[in-house]
Amino acid sequence: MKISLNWLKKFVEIPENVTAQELAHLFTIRAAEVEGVLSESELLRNIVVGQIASLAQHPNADKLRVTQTNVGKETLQIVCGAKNIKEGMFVVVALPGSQVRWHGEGDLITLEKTQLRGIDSHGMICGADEVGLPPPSNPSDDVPDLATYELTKDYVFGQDEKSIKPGTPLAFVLNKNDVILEIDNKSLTHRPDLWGHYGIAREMAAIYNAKLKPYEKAVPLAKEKDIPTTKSPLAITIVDKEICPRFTSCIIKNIKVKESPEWLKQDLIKVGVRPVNNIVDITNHIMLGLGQPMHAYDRKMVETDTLEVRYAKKGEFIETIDHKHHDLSEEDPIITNGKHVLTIAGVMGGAYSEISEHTTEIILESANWQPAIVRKASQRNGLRTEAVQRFEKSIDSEMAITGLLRAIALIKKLCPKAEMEGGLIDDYSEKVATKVIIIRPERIQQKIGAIVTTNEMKDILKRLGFGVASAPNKSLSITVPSWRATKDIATEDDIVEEVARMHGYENIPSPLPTLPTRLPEENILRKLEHKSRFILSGLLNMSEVYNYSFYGASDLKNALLPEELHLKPQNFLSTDQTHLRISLVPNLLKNIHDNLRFKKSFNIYEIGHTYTEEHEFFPREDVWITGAIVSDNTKSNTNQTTQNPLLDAKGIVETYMQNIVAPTQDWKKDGLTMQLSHPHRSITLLSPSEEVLARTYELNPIVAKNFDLSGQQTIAIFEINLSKLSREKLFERKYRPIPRHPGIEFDLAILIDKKTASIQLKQAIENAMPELIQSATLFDQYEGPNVDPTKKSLAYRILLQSPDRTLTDDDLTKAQKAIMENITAIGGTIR
Amino acid sequence: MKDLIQKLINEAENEIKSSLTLASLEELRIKYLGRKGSFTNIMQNLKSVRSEEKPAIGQALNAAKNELEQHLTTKQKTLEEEVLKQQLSDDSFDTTRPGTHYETGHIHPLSQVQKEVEEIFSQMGFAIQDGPEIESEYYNFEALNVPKDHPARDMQDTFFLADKSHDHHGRMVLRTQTSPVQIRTMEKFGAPLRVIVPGRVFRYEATDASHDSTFYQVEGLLIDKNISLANLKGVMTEFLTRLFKKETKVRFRPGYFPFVEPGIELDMWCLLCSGMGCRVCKHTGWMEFMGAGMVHANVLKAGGIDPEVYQGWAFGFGLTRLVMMKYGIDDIRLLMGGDLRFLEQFS
Repeated sequence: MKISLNWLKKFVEIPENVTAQELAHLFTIRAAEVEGVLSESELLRNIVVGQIASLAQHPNADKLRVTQTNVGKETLQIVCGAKNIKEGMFVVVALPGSQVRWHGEGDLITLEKTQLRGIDSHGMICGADEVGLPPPSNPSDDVPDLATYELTKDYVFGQDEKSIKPGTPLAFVLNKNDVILEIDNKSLTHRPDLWGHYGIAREMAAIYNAKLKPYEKAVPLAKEKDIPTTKSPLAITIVDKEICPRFTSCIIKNIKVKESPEWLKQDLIKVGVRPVNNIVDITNHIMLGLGQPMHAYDRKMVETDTLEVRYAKKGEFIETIDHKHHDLSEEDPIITNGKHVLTIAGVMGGAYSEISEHTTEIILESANWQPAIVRKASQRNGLRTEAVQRFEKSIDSEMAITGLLRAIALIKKLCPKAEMEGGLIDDYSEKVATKVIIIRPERIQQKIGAIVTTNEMKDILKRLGFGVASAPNKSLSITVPSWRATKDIATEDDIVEEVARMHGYENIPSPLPTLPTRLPEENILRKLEHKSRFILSGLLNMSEVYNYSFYGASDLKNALLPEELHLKPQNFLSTDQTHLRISLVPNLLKNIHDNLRFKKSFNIYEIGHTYTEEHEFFPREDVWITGAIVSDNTKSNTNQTTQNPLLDAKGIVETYMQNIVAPTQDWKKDGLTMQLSHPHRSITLLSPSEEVLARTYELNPIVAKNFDLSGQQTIAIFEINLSKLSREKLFERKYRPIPRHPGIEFDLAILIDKKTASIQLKQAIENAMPELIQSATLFDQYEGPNVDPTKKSLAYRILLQSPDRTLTDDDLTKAQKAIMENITAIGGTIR
Repeated sequence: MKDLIQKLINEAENEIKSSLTLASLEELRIKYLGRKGSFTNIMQNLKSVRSEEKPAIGQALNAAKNELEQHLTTKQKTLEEEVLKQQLSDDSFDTTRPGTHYETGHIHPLSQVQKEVEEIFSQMGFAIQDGPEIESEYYNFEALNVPKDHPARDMQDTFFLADKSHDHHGRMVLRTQTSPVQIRTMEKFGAPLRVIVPGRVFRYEATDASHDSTFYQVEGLLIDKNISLANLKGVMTEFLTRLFKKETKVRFRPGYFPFVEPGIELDMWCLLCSGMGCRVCKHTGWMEFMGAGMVHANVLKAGGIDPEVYQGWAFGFGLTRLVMMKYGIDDIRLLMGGDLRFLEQFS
């Protein structure tokens, strides 16, 4: 919201030594954020009054002339193309360094000294629209003759002492000394009273402990004697009472609708509102000044003086003044003449009864509307107006009549022949009772944590317009002023805020709380997440990515994921964010695709939530670590320890589980995984209680193809269910004695049927003589030339060791014999 | 015989003297003292010596052998020293060659800063809490004193889930803030309470270099019997000073958030100029950091805590923004982009 400092000064005496910047700062730390301070004179910097001393034709251009223009301390050569310039004329000169809007359009540009067709030009003689002046009285003038201007100050142009001389800043001549404060609307969400200049002035008065003029003293209102004592012909029936806490209205005749005077237009323009005509401008001026939105109807178009306020009925519609058609719902509040809907109450008026140049009689409305109803109607119809912004915040009903009286006075000022027909209408159905709060100064002080005396509190509250009286037990009885009582102030805590901010947040000390030492509750899942990152990134050369919680319909299709498990946002930002993820894999595949442009092999993982529809109200959320091993198949890149990405992924999960000391069963072939995985290259790791802790698989080639990943890479995926893992009881490490007697190691290469699982062979070896055979480790696997094509050769390193004696050759022979027997039993032969 | 021995020794000594390498010295040892060496030969010839001469010759032979061994050892030491000397004087190794490159993984900057934040608050006795990312309107709004049709709902553009609604809970939303976990922890643990909640939040809002629909927040909540706004200044000053490893100050200004009363905006000293004023902070010396305030009585009540007995404050700041500030990241989208050229800059 834009606030004019000059407008504020009509209501409050701001100390003279306070700069606009200081004012903005203090308002920011006491009340609401001032986002910007814009000085009008700053905008007109280096733009001055000049007087043309002489004129000559430009030697190289027919349409240009070369002037010598007096700008006070010097006379400058300026090239100009305007036809109406003549010697002695007072013109607007933009000097180098000034900012102008070229031909009144586009962004501001900074003027520099230049050459026009070979002749130096030290500035520019400006057109009216280039510096924001009203158009010249003679429309064919290219540049304004300042002497003919009706300026806001009564200045004379000339050489004598009192007159305006060349070199005078234009801002001074035009009385452009205002400063515009831009206040962040969000920081006013809870302050309905600050949505107009008077409210801001009231707050400033409290901040500076300065004098605030009563509104009716600062600006003239219609007096009692100006109001006819006759009854108004208006008959307003408020059918649905909750819509309208207060409705005030009157009829004014003999109106002449025309352009507003300059002061009124300038007031509106300065704060960003476009002038329309005198009547509409007056209603807007009151909204911006007092904070009371108003509406004026063309009485003749309304046709009747009998109006109804109610909810719309099915089938009713309105064309609003922005010429949009709205079919209304039964929850939209309206005002109707029985035939047409005239306005969506508190939101926007209708085109049908809008003020036009033909309007001669008006119905003025100054009402208050129920906030939630207005807000809903505004959202439903997509109309976020200035009026809505105010009504939805619960404005003070007391303002309605003040606004009406002010409008009557202003209309009479601008249309001297205007007269009221009948008196005022005031339907005040919901007068808010005076709000009184009992506060305990001690408790307020304790919440703030600073010493604020009761006297200071009293002073602060009085400055803010509260009534203060003593109450029993050292407490105070606070009467809330009507403009703060609508919503904002209701409890003692609300007073804490008033006291704290006016005492000055900067005056509050910063002590640490004195609390008992207490060990915080442990977050096992969170600890596991951080430890997982340490293991995966720090030990296992994987990089962590973050992805969105969404993917698109085509992604889940490409990943062969079942749609019915997905939750869908009702509103989404793009078509690749239409579903909430049930797996982290699709987005990881997209990461892989993107990164393959720069790298051939890499390992990435993500730790994040999945959301699965399980037909309870709250969906199931699990935390997963999902990782991908991207391995380059082209052998040119041989510097890889990797044997196979699936085994790499399996190894990563195994190392991970060892590091966090998780108890697991052996890997199992995964019969139940999603189609995402290769049907035969997929394994799961279960906990002792049969929970699936992890899955490892090669990506289904169909999925790889769908994600455009079937090139030179093989991709293996692992998924670790951290939610489940965090609920498992992890092992505690125990020391195992270091063997005191040396062991014997020997290697064995075994030929066996291709389809026999290596784990079978390992078990066959280890079970041959469990008391001596400590381990059998597969270290090589071979298929190809010199081996029967139906077989494979597996090489094991076998360790024999006894805890209590040194082994002999005899032990070795016995063990080898036992191993041989077991191997033979499953079809193996020594190679 | 003795002459023969002497001759052999002389010959060997000469050869030892002129030997230049450890390898040639070893050859000499074998030549003279080896199993088939010259001395062994002589020993074998001892059989043909008369028995009365045997002891004397034997003695001489042994002495000669010992002498030779000594010579060999001395020479070996000299040669070894020379080798070492040579090794030490070799300056041809190019020490400017790059060190061996070890691949390591990278932890996402959000995770790293989050961990740092958690550690600092943990040290001040705050527990780390979590909550669901899909929330009900009740937890995300109503319980936080943001009733339906409250203008404050406009402050946060919300993702709603399709076809989900509940009498008590309302619709399902992607949580717009970590604040619903305030209510959840109050319900779970009651008062007193000291927690922070780092987590992912969502806003239905067009994406550009400084806005994303997904980002991370850290919620803080301290409830006890005598907790003041002043304490918030104290705790945040400690936190920021520790996080940025230099003296930091904070200031309050009024702000509005329905779940606190009073509500404040907390600014911190500009990281660049420490309060002096510079271009980055638009010459104010301050940077906006977070929203906070004293927990609203309605919120305490919603969490089952008696506002007449307990009081405290809550805050919420943008972890994502903090990460961007800390590393000078100018485009928020990089954080959710999965580009390894970005991620590998953080180890």
